[in-house]
Amino acid sequence: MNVPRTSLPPVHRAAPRDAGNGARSASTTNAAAAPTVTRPLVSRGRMMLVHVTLVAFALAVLGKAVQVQLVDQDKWEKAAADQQVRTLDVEPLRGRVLDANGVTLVESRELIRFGVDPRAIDSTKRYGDARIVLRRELKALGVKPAIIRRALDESVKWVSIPGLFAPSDVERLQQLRAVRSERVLLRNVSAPAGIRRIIGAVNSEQQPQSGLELELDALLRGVHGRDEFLRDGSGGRLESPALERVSATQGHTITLSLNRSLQEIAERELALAMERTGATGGDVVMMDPRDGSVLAMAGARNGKPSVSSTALTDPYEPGSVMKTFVMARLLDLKRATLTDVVNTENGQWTVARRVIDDEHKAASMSFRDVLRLSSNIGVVKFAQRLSPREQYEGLRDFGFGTLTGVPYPAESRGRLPIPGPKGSWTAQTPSGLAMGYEVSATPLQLAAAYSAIANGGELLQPVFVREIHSADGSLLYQHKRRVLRRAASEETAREMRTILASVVDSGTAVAAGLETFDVAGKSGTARRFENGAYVDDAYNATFAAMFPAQAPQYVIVAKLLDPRSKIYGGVVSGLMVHNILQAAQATRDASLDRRELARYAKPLPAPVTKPLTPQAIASASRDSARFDSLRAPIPEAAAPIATAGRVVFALPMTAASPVRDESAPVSVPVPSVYGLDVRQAARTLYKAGFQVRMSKGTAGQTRPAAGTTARAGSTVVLFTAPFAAP
Amino acid sequence: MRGRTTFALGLALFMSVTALVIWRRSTGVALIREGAALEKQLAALRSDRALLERNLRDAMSRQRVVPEAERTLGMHVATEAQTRAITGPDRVP
Repeated sequence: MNVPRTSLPPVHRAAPRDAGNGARSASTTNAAAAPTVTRPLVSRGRMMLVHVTLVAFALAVLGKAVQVQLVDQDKWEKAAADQQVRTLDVEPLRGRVLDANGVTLVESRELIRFGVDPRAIDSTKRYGDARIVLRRELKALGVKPAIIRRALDESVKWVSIPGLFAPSDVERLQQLRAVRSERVLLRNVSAPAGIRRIIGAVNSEQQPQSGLELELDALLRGVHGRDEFLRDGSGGRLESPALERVSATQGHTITLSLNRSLQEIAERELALAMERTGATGGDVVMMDPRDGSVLAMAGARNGKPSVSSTALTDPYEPGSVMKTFVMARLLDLKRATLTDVVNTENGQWTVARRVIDDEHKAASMSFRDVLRLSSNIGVVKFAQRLSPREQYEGLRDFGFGTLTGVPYPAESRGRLPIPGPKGSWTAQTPSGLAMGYEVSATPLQLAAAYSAIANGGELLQPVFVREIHSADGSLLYQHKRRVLRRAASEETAREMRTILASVVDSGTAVAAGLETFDVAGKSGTARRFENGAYVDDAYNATFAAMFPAQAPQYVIVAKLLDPRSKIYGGVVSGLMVHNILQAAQATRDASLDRRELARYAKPLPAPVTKPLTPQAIASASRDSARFDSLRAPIPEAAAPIATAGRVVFALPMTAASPVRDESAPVSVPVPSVYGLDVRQAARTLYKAGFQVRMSKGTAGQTRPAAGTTARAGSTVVLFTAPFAAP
Repeated sequence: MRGRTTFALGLALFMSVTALVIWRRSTGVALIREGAALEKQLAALRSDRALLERNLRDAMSRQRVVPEAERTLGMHVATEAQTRAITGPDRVP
């Protein structure tokens, strides 16, 4: 078999080029004559080699494909993803912060920052000439003409447009290829200055810097998301359904106990009080004594709103407002009763080489009057009935010298000296502490301590955070009233509230009183201690109030630094508290239980009917005849005018007043009315449950004498100076 | 002839499957684009809402309203004597 197996066509020997047609014919003739033996051009061995090579190549390609696709799949997939897929971190919106009424105080907002690459400006099908669109949109955004010119100048490489813009304002610009935009988150604060300081701030990277933002960052920061997309050849974005997108989860929503309306009232009244008194600064803390919620916190220093929460960070010597706690401990330990009387040395006394003066000078005072008239001598003498340890524990139990526990990074614990061999007590410390010196406290500590008196003796942990909700609205945390310890018995707290109500009613803080509700409180005027020494003629004027006195819903601590017009806490800070309470009552969302409040409202005093003069009667008759169709009847005869010999009082309440405490004992102590004017003295006695009869004598004296007990409803004779007017 | 029919059917099947895959992917891409655009729009609207609400809150704050009411309308914050707390009927449990 000479037939070649190869399918290659037979190859003819080529004729010589110069053979011509004759030669070609001859060759054809020869082929027809005898069978031509064709030989393959490539030998079989060579063919095999080529085949093997091709197969080997194919196998190599296949092998490589297997290696790439199967063996090294992960590696190459990763490499491809690195080249083609871009992953962006999606920053979440920080959680919102709301006030007690659900009003947003702080929230994050998305804004856009962008720049222009002038060399990439081209035209788009959708918007036409990109240059025109760019110019028009930049102009609409209020970008300066010089920057617009630069943004359109192709010789410039990159132009950053200053400012942040709302996404809806730059939507058209973002369609242009020349515009590169970036998402920026901004913390939007719409809270009064005091709340801003409590909430704190974040920097441009959304990192918390201070306040609750720092303390509660883990709750507020949210969960980051992921955005994956393909990149085209020029780095542009291509969406792919195969890639995963994870949305960012917004941080939790935090509801504070702070009330925006009360905060604004506190800030306004503090500013007005500073203007009125010439004070250089001050603090106001409002607290709900029922659950420890801090409702408002305002502060000012050097005539301007302070840059930090000074009510938490600046302790000071509060002065007489501390007397309340010493006296409460005396009652608790049964070392004194309300009827106890001490010798107040006619207003001046020396103890442990310290000269103590009283503003209201008297020979003796009852326990009640020591607080009502803020007698330094009286409180020091009463405090001598306590051991140093008892005195220290009394103040410590009300929370002094320790942190309150609010979530605020820079809170101060104040100072309370420890007695004993290792302590720092001196011979003067007991008297100093009794008067509110040698101890320092923040306004918040004072508010927490007065809240204990207000709520029946329980020291509560003050709180800023009332509730925490997740972004989808589910409740994660709700504040529950947390009792730290019992600081005083319920009976002691009730008695202290009664005494403190007399401070406002007829004591050192009459300015804080309201016509419609009873307010309890204690004033304090203390010399300012700065740089290790007391400053001459510089005072801290403080007033701590409870409203209403019977079942307090507010505790307010108001402090003024260095008031100039008047220095007394009961006057300057008391008036500030009065104005705050007045404004709060007129505010709808003031965190007040008005149904409960209405139970303690006093009847409004009936207006005093002024006797009409003959001229007024004639005038009224004439006017009535002029305007009425029927002639008006002649008015009744006017009441006689009060003279010095007959004093008429317009008392604001009746003996059967519903606000009177039903549990009051049948025998009650006669309050001291020393230092009061006749009207206030009569009101004080009347409120204590006595009928009042006036008589001429030594002003301020009563029969039965102050401090002794008498049957409720019996008549007390009030002696007044001759010709005293009401 | 039989071979050609088989080939044609195979080709048609291949083309159909390919077209289905391309259509599915194109629809997916279009939906993703639409979704991304809507998300962007939502973020923009949320941002606008936040701004408007903030402006509203600022305009309604006491710091703005009280001085304006005092100046323009001659109003004043009610005194305590002008504010009465009224006890309503007991709440129904």
